[in-house]
Amino acid sequence: MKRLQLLLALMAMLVVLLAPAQAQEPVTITYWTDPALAQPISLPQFTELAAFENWQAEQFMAMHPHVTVEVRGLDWPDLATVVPTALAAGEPPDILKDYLGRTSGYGVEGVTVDLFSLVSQEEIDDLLPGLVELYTIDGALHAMPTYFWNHAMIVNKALFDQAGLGDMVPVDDRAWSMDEFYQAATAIKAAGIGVDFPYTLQVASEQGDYDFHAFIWGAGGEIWNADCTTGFDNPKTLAGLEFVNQLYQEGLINSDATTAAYADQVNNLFTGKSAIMGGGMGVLNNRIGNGMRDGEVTVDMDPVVVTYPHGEGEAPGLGVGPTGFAVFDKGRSAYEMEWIAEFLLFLNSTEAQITYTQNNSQFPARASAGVPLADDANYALTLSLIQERGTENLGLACPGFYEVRISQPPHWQAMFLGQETPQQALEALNAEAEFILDM
Amino acid sequence: MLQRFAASVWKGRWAYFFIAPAMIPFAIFTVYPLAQGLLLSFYKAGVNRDKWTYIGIKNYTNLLTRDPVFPTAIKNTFLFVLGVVPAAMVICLFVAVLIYPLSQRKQTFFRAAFYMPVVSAGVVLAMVWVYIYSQEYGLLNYLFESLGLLDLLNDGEKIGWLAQTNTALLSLAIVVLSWSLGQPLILFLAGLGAIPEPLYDAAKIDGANSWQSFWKITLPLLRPTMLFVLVVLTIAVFQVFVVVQLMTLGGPANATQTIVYRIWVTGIVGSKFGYGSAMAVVLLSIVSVVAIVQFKLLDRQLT
Repeated sequence: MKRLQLLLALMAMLVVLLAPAQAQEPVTITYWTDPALAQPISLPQFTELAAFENWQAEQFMAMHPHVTVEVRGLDWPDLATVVPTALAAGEPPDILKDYLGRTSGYGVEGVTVDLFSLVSQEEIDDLLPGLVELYTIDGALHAMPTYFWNHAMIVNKALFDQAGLGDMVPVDDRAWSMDEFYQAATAIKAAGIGVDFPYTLQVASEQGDYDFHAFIWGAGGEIWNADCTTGFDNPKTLAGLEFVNQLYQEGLINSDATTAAYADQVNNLFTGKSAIMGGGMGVLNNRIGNGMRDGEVTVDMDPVVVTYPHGEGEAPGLGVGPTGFAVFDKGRSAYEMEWIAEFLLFLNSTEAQITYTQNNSQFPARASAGVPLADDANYALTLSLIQERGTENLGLACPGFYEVRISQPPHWQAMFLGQETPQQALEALNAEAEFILDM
Repeated sequence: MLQRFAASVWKGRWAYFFIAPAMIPFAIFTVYPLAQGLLLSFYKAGVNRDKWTYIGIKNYTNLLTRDPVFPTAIKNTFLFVLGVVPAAMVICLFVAVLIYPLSQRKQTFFRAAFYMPVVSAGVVLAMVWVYIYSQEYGLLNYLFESLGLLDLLNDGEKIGWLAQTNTALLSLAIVVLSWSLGQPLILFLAGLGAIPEPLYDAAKIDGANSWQSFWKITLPLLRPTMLFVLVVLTIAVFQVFVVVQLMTLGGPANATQTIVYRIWVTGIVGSKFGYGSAMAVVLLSIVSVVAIVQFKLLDRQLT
């Protein structure tokens, strides 16, 4: 009897000892991130790519010692090449943080995990409904949105004031018609204060496309329709394009727009060669803010947020672009997926979203994150503009989005160089888009 | 049959043993990917391997009949080759003949100077050239302005060398040419060193001048080197990519699109691996045909 008691006691001890050991089975999670937080404003100790994310991972590992998180930071160009190659090779990360324009492609291809089945309804309900809808592809939540940028016009009002044209900047309603914009641009150029090209733009690569598309949206045109067909055959798209072309041909846009880079645009604004540039809160706070702090800005600077010019009777919305966390389907066990979900929610918690948006001047995807930069007048203003005027359809979740995107700059360039008329550019793009979407 | 094959392998076992260290990596890293690429070109292949579908020659028919940019890329690539290869051959031959009689020390200086771009990072060189060609702050426009050439060529306006379709390709070709000179020059100098000196002495005794010696002795005896340089250079220029990627992104208005850049944009960035592989196979076919023609033509003259 005593032997039996001893045996049972030993077995009970073993169960007690082994049970937590089984629950603590080691898990390794790979996490790849974009460089959006490479230099967070309020966390100056992190100056290198993925340093901030490594710090986050260390915090998570300290809470869960059996979990190892391997972080890899990718630059913007690498995100478009390294991730697809890794996917094709069967070695993607477990979690990827990237822009919707790219993650949607993975969702369409069916290589991401449906987060509706991984994340609780309570967590989903906290996300802005519009974003959840945008991230839902074929009924599956292909990634979990975390924050989004906005796109508007940033006008250096100090230069307009200097030229005695301050009244031409629509600081009251933040909106101007195409005609008002044209008059203001023409006037500041003629004022003789060194503004050679009132609006600075680049069409050398697809990276500058929202600065361009916004004119098309302003005219009521579309690049992408709601059904994911393209809007190159829309007469209003042509009207918007003709307006941009007119601005370029009349010297109101920088003449090197066909080869300029983002740095050239910023340089034009900082040196007063240009008075208007496209951008959102990130450009306003991070790029211009840092430029003013570091002495890169050589003219008086009073940046003001306004919306892009609109055509008669048109009320365009703002461009917004979300970033999210995608989880790749690697055939992981249920136990491993549990910890991947845990880390995903850690990365996308309300607190984390507040930290992200405070540091990259974007807008959180969770309702519970509130308005992290409420004290920033431009931030609050932009948020109200988004709420009032709505958002434009960027086509980010459409199949073929990225290829159609990169097919456009050559035609904008040809139009500026006088080799294609706006009509011909749109016809060529329409044919190219049909080919891309048909493949 | 099999026995005879096995016997012949056994007979040459030591030869196979000694070439194995070179052939095994070659098979793994060159032959296998080549075969994979060829196979992939018949598939619709994206990032999801489970969805790869065999589509026969559809990638090729799309490429050759429907793709709006690929024909431009082929044309531009040929223009690159036709511009850069002959220019590099002539310049290198000229410089090699010019510096060959110099002392070893002076020769070394020129070899090093011409070879420098070959060992320098392409990215750095491309960035330097971007500044040289810059419309606003570029050295070239400054030089042209100083010499009064801008008035002559462009009504005094600064030229956007990389921004205009009529100058962008030429500008890139000059960059490619600048870093294509090193290797041919070294090879030509080596080739010149292999020509027996008595031949020139005999020609001199027979009353031949330098020009005649060059045409009748130097050039014919350099033909094997020229053939090698021609083929290697042609293959290299067909694969032009870095300058396009770093300096123009194929623009303006597709004026500098090349085949390898299209492979990159479509196959890697656009994740259309099958379609990109079809482009690579087309490039391989073009380069192979051109190389074979070059061999046939020059080989005939050699024998």
